[in-house]
Amino acid sequence: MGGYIRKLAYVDLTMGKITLRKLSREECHLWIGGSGLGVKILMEESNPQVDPLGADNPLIFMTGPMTGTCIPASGRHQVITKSPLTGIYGEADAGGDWGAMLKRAGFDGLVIKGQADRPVYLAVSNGKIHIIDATPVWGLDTYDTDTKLKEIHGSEIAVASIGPAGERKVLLATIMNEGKKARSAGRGGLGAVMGAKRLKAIVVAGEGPIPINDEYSLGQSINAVVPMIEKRTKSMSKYGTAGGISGSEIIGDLPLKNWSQGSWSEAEKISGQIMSETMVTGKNRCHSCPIGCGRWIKAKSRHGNVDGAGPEYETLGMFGGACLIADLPAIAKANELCNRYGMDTISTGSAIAFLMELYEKGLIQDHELSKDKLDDTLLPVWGNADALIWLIHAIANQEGIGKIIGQGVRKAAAIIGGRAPEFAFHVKGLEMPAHDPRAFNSLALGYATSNRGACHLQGGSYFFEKIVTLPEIGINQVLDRFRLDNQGNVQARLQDIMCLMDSLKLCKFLFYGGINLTIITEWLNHLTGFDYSVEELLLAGERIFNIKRLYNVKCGITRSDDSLPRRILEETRPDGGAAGNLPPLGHMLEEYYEARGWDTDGRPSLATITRLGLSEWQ
Amino acid sequence: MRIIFASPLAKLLGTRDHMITVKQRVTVEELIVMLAQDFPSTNAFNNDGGDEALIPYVWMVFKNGKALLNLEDLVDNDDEVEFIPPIMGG
Repeated sequence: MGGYIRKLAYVDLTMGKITLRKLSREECHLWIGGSGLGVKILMEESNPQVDPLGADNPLIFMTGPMTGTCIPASGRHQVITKSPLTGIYGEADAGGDWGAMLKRAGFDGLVIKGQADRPVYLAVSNGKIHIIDATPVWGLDTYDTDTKLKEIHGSEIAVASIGPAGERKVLLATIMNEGKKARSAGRGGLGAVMGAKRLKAIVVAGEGPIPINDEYSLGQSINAVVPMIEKRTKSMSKYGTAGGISGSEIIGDLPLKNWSQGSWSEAEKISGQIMSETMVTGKNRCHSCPIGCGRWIKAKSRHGNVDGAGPEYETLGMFGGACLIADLPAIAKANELCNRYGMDTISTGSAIAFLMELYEKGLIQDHELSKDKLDDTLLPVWGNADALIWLIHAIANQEGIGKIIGQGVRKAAAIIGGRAPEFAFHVKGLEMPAHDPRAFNSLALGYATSNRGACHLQGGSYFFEKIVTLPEIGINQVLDRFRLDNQGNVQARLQDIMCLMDSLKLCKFLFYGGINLTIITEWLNHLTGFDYSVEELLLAGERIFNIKRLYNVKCGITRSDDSLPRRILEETRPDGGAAGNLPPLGHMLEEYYEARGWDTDGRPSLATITRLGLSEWQ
Repeated sequence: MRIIFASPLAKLLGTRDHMITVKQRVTVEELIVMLAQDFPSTNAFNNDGGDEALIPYVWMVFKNGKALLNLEDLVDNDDEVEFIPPIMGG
C-alpha cells in the first residue's frame, strides 16, 4: 500500500514513554489520513469533556497519504486537538516541508499526550524519537528557536515550534514551522495546548522513502495537469495571496473597520501588487508546489526591519482592512512579530479591531488599557499602526489589555461586559477570517456550520462563486454569490470535499488551478493502490465531517451555536460591492440540516450516523 | 459602456477609464477582443498564446458594482464594467 508509512507514535510526556502502532489498511481506507485519521484518534484517545490545556488532551500531528510525495501542493500536515480558544473540536493545517520531513523520518503521525515536568522538545529521525531537555530554546521566539535547533541538530532538519505566546498559553497561540518561512498551524490556539504540555518544538529529519504504488502512472497523471495549474494560478504565483486585496475590497469582501464599513480607498496601498513593487525578494514555496503563493520580503519600517515571510491576504485583511491601517511596512512588521511570538494573525487582528471599536464607542477607557499611563500615540484608534504593534507585544506578553483581548474576542467581550459582545466577531469562539459573508451568502452558512468555528476554508464555497467550477458535484458554472437557494446541499458537499483535502493533505488552492475530484481520485489510486471512486471519497469526506460534528455535539454544540454575529445578519455594508446584502442564514440552515441528514437541533440523525458507519462514536 | 481598470491594470494601460460603444449586447469574451484591439501595444488582453482565458484567472470582471461575470455573460452600453485583480487568496 503506497502513500503511508503505516506507523504512528504515541508520546506520553508525563511518563516519558513512546509507543508505536501500525496503521491498518482498513483504517487508512476509511479515514484517509490527516484530519480524518486525526479526529478518529482524538475520539479514541480522549473524552470531549477534557480540559483543552490539561494533560489528557491529545495533541495530534498528522500527515496524509499525499504528504511529501511528488503530487503537486502536497507539503501539508494537520494538527488536531480540542481547542482551548473555542472549547470544541480544534484543527489547523500548515504548509511548508515539515510534514514531508516527518514522513521521511518514518512516521505518518505523532499523538502527544501528558505533560512534561520541564520544557522538552522531540527529535524525530529515522524511525526513532527522543525527548530532549528544551532549556536551550525555551523563551526563544520561533525564528530563533529554528536557528538554535539547527545549530544543535544540523541544517537538514525541519522544526515545528511554539513561541513565547504558546509558552504562556495565550489562547491565540499558533504552532509555527520552519523559522522565517513561517508556515503556521494557526487557528484555534493550538500553540497553547503545546505550551501546556511544555513541549517547545518537534524537530524532524529523514530521508526515508515514501512508497508509491504506481509511480509511472502517477507521474504521467501529474505531468498532464501541472501546466494547467501553473497557468490558472499565474496571478497568485505573481502576487501571492495578497494579490487579492484590491479585488476583495472592490467586491465588498474585505473586512473594514471591524466589519462596519463598506469601502476603503486605501486598500491598494496594502495590496500584493504594491508589496511586490516595494518589498518582495522571492517566493516562499511549500514542498512540491507549482504555485508558490508565499512571499519572501525585506522591508524597512519605523517599527524595525523585516526579513522573512511576508504577510498573507488574511493578515493584511485583519491588520489592514479591519483596523483601517494602510501602512504596509508596519503590517509586515506586525506579521513578523506574530510569527516570532507564534500568534494567529487573523484572531490577533480581530481582537485589535474589536478593541478599536470599543475605544471609539467609549466602552473602554484609557486607564483600562494599560497598568502604566499610556502614551497618546498608542491609543487604539482606527488606523494607528503604533497601537497595532504595541498591542501585539501586549497580547504576547499578557500585559494590561493584552491579557484580556489575548483570550479571543468572545472571552474578552464577556470580561469587559456591557455592549462589548456586540462588537466581537466570532463563531463558536473562533474569530472570523477576512472574508465578509455579506459578500458571499454561502460563507455565512460555511462560517456558521464549520466544525472549528468561523472558517473560510472548511467549506471554501466562495472559491466556486468567484472563479472555479466542480462538475462532479454539479457546479458546472461559477455560482451566483448572492443566491438565496441551493445553498444547503452545495455547502455540505463542499465541506465534505474540504475534509477530504485536509485528510489527503492537499492544498485547497489546487482548485484554483483547475484540479477536480476525478484527478484527485486518480492520483490517490495510483499512489495507494486502492480503487476508490469519486463517490467513495465524497462519502469518506462526509464521514469525517460528521464525526467532528459528533465531537462538538458532545461538547454541547446545538443549533443556537450555528450562528453569526448580529451585525453580519442585520446590518448591511453601507456602500461598495456588497452594499445592501444580508445573508439569509435561517433559510440556508434549514436547507443545510436537511441536506446533512441532521435533526432540527443540528444533531446527526440516527439514520445518518448508521449510514456513515459512525455508530460507535455517537 | 464605461470600463474601469483597477490597478495594476490601470498602470499598465496608462488609464483608469475607457469607453466602448456596442451595437448590441456582447459577451465578456467579445468585449475582451475589443479591448485587445483598443490597446494593441500591451499584452493585457491577449491570452498569452494559450487556450486558457485571461478571465477569471488573471482578471475578474465586475459589473455595475455587484456581479462577478463569466466569459459568456452579457454586457451592454448601460453597464459599468470593472476589471479587477482575481481574488484567490486564503
